[in-house]
Amino acid sequence: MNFLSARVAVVIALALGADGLKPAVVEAQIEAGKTSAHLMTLTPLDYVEIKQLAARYAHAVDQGANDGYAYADLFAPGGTFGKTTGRDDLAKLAKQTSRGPQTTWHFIVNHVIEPTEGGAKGREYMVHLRYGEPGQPNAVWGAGHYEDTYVKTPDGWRFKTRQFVPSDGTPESLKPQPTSAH
Amino acid sequence: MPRFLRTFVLLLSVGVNTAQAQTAPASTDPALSATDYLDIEQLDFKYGWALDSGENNGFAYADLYTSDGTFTGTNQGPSGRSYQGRDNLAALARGSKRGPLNIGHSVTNVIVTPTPDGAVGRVYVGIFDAGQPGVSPGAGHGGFYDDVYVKTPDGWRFKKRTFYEGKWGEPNVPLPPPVPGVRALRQAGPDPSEKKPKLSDQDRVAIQQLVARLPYEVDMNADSGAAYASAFTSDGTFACVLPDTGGAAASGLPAGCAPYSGKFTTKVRPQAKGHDALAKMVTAKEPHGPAYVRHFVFNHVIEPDGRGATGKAYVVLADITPRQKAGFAHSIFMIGRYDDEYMKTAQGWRIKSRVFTAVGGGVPTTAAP
Repeated sequence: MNFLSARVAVVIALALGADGLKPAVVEAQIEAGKTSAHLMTLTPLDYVEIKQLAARYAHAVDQGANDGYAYADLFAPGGTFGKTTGRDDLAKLAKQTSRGPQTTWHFIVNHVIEPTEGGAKGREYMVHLRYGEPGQPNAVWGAGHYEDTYVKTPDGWRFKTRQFVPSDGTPESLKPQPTSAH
Repeated sequence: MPRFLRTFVLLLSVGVNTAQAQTAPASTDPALSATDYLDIEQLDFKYGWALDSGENNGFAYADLYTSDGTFTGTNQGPSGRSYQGRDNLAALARGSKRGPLNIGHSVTNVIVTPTPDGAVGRVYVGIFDAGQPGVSPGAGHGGFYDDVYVKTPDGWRFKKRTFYEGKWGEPNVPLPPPVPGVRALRQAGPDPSEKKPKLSDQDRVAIQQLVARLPYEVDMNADSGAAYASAFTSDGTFACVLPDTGGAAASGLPAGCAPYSGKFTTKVRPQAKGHDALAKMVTAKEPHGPAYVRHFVFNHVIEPDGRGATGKAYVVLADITPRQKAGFAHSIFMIGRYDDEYMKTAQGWRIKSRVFTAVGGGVPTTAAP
């Protein structure tokens, strides 16, 4: 099967260090004047627009509208998904991944967004729900999470980078460890 | 800054502004405020709750529509079927399975586009089969809704909602055109007739972010539960209620989770209270790893209350077999609901209490913070 996640998923080490998403809880950083002098101030409309961008991603990659360019245009110039970059290559990727205009299988939730110096970064969970594949029962096909950076262009927010990290581990292999700090 | 440099920076900024003016949406294009977007998203999220619960004899669902609103299921019969008017819509949300623990319609991927008359939208829906005690939930079926929204004096409502079953390959029904291409959102001017919301846009976004963050702290838990715990107030609590076993004996239940009492309630004895107990609980009871995902949260509805805000959400716990393992035997372990109380503290919004109520699935071996 020619699935996007299987083809181009890039497993990255989750280094939750200085450059990663800090696990500290969200502060009221969206209020003007409360962000660090170095961080971009995100307004509620910025959050809304970045969430809309992530929502569009699912529709565009599943349905391949505009020959895949609906997907490609969600990325800033030079933007990357995994190792794929360039408008034509991104469009080609979406066209290959799409299963038709009535397809819905990337269900994206848990969208966390944080300001950065040059824009914003975010993470989302994604579960593949295989609905309507001929001859197959509807089923969970896989899951993982995205690691994103976003940039505000004159045309609005766009992905600068997006990587998919497949879920790793099972309840059996990841036994709770009371004294362990993973 | 030297004068020549100041001049250069000034020219550069003028250039950027000019470029923005050329590419940004024209000011005459329809626009929505952040409040509108958040309200429409809440309408989409309330949909599942109202339809699945059948609250108020189905009228909670009907009242999400305008008085002439229509729902069409293109999957119902060869040419689809439409329901219009309050009574017909309410009848859709009635039936023996309804109730606060009937969880199915889970909405995400919300795209909203302003129009001269209001807005249109396209959203995904997974209609999960929540299973029963001892019976695993299933993916059910799903697809997308194509929506027309109208702003009424009572807020945003569905004027038209049409369901399209997800299907690979050639469409089996005529489809609406794809959503318009991506472009910058433009902030609409203030609506003078609008009452000031009890929760500001900033408050709602902060609460959304607070809740979106928790699954990472449970499933990845990079710091022995410290970040998970700090999402709660210092006296914050977590409680869980196990699936309704219909009186049958249940084994392997986690310590601290309450058995289902026979009636849905959020007044449950907490399993953990305070930061230390919460951190210990999540680390000791939940499998976690650096790339592990399990808790998928849908339909997060936020309401103001006298002291802060309350929220509720659907949660789907998916067990994913890692890619390198043979079989890809993915499954849904459990489906349930969160009921939250939020409080605004000096550090920002925090969870005052969270109750997880499991709806269906196998007898659990872990709780679901």
